[in-house]
Amino acid sequence: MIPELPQKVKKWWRGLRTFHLSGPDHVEEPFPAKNEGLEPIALQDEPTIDDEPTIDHDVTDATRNVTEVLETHLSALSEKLDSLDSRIQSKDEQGESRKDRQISGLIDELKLLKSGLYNQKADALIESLITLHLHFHMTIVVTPEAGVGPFPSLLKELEMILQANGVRQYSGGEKGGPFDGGRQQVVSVVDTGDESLDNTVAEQVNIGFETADKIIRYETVTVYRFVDKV
Amino acid sequence: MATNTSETVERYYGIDFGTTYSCIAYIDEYGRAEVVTGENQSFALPSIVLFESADRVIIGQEAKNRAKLQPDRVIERVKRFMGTDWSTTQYGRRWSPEEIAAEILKRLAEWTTNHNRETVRDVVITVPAYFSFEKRNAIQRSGKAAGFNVHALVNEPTAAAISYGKTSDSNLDETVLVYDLGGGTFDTTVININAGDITVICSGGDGSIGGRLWDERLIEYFKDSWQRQHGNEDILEDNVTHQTVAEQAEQFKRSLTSLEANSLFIQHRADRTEVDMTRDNFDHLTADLLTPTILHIEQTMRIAREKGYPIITKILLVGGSSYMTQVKREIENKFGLETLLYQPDQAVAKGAAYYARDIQIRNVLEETGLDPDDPDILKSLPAGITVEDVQAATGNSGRRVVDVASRNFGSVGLIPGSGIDAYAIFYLIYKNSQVPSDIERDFVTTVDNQRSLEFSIVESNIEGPVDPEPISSGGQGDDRFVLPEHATKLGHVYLNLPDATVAGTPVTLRFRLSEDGGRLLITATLPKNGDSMDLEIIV
Repeated sequence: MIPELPQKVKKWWRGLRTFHLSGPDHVEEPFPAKNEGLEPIALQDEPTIDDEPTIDHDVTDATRNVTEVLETHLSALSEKLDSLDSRIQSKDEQGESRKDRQISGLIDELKLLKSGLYNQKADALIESLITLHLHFHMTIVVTPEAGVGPFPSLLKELEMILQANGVRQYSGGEKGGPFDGGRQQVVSVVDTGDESLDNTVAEQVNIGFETADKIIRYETVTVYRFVDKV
Repeated sequence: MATNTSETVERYYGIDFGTTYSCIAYIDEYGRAEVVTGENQSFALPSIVLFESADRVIIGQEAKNRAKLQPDRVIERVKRFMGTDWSTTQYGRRWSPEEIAAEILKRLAEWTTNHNRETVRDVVITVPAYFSFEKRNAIQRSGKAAGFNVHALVNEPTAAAISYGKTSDSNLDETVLVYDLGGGTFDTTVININAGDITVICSGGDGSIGGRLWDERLIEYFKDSWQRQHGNEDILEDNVTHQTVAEQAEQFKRSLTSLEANSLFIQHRADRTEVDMTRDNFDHLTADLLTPTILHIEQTMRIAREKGYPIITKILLVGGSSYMTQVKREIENKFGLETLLYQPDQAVAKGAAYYARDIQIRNVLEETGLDPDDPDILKSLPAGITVEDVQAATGNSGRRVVDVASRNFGSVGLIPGSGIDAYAIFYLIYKNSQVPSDIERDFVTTVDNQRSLEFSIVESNIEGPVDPEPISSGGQGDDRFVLPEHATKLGHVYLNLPDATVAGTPVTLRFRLSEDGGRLLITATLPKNGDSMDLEIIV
């Protein structure tokens, strides 16, 4: 890919060409006073308007000078071109790399989305089953006759279904055991005059449920709170 | 290959500091926004602080779990107190809202260190679009108190739009309305997304609307249900029952986003009752709560129309409370527009992370003096950033973010020819005008030999105020005028005048509001001798 030559270079080139072919009398455009746009190469014997060569000069010498200048500048241009090529190639690679990474990222996202949708549905179902479990449990607790009917067996079956799906129960809520705010949630406090019971579990309200990596529903407990006058 | 593999450069992070939940996000090595997960695999940290003892502060879910043990030591929804005089005294120490918020921010930083093994130092924090300077300033102070360099505050809907802009077609030109219904705040913002550039057109909001209103309505309903079965006892007067029912209400509301109906057991002391509710019942019960949000949409759309954006292509639903199915249904019915439930819990934090990444790129460019095209720049940036990202961040290939002023800004002065106590607010910058802005307005001295001139700088939060806006006169000195409820004094610029200054001598007041709308530089200049005085209000 060849970059467009700067306007100054074009003018300079046309000037050289005219000089070379027709001699200084017919120069249409003089050399620029400075070789703007062609740094860092500096011309030692650069002709200027004030120092224009005349028709008496040796045309061969002039041609040689111009050729040297031209070669120097072409070499500089070539270096610039190489550098540009390298940068373009780098950008192409970067673009490709970016695309590859985006595609890889999108595939990952699709996988996550797919598993996320599944997990979302599964989580909702599991939460509903846990709610059902809690309701069964509460029913057995508050209705004595439910404790001898089919409810205990149904409750056990539900627990097995949850366990088969990676959800296990946990329970740390033994009376008098220390309250663990990381795994237990206080639903109410029980005032006590016994300071040794302060901040210990008074009663388990509901068991907790967890998977291998997270708690789905915190175990709920009541906790003793020491007060001076009970 | 011109992508960075540097693992040692620390990232800038985006923080969504929410009323009920907060989260923190970053751009990963694949250039994607990721939200940090913390305890219990959760990305949302409950914005709850429990002062368990004089030297132990518990943040998040554990604070929630322990709340009933020490209800007087629990602070919830501290965001609503930001920028106010509110404080709490715990174990003899006075805590300001900024300090409490800093504890939440520090916890997010700990999550990040555990997750990424990286220290969080440089951040962008999101704020509701309608937040005042005082509230923004308070958030900024919280960030500093948490040990962060807060590089910018970005409006929450703008952050959500930035995140959405990453997923939309980069050549698309569309105007979307962001409907952001959080736990305790509500924002609407119209944003144009064009070839990666994001231009905020106008914004509105109301700090009194949020998902908690739906919870409170449910709690009242549960109380009434109890009374229908058990008599007139108010179960909410019992702190323990109140807190339990409050939690159940939040869970119940969430369950109705996926279930058509659900039941709930209320336990009060030894008695129990069952409450059944369908989703339709719930929607009917809370229908009036949604109405103000619909009115805000209408108002924001009207302003957008006046500003040359008559067509809204879709409505993005963000904020955790947007999960309620009534939100989507009502908006679609009312406006006939497509709605998109766009990562309601994460979009804001992710957008902030993209915003933070771009700031990091610009800062590194400034520090190193390197050209945006120079692949060497990547050595000074975190892994995963490409030269393309660098160019985009510098605005060379899109991804510019143009925001709007969140308030009107002006100065109090006297209305010419109306007497010495006819005060008014003279506006220089209007709400929803694009930032950065640089506006001058000429004032004159009122009497001969005036020794000084004081500009009282105010912000106000009304749409299209009249200019000048007359205000009441008061007593003497600082009480010489009374600001209306919608206006707040931000500070004053005091300019000494030379001897023998005649009445009518011009003085120029200049307001410059920064690109992120977070820094207002005020300069009063006496053109006669060039004397000037500055006031910078920094957020």
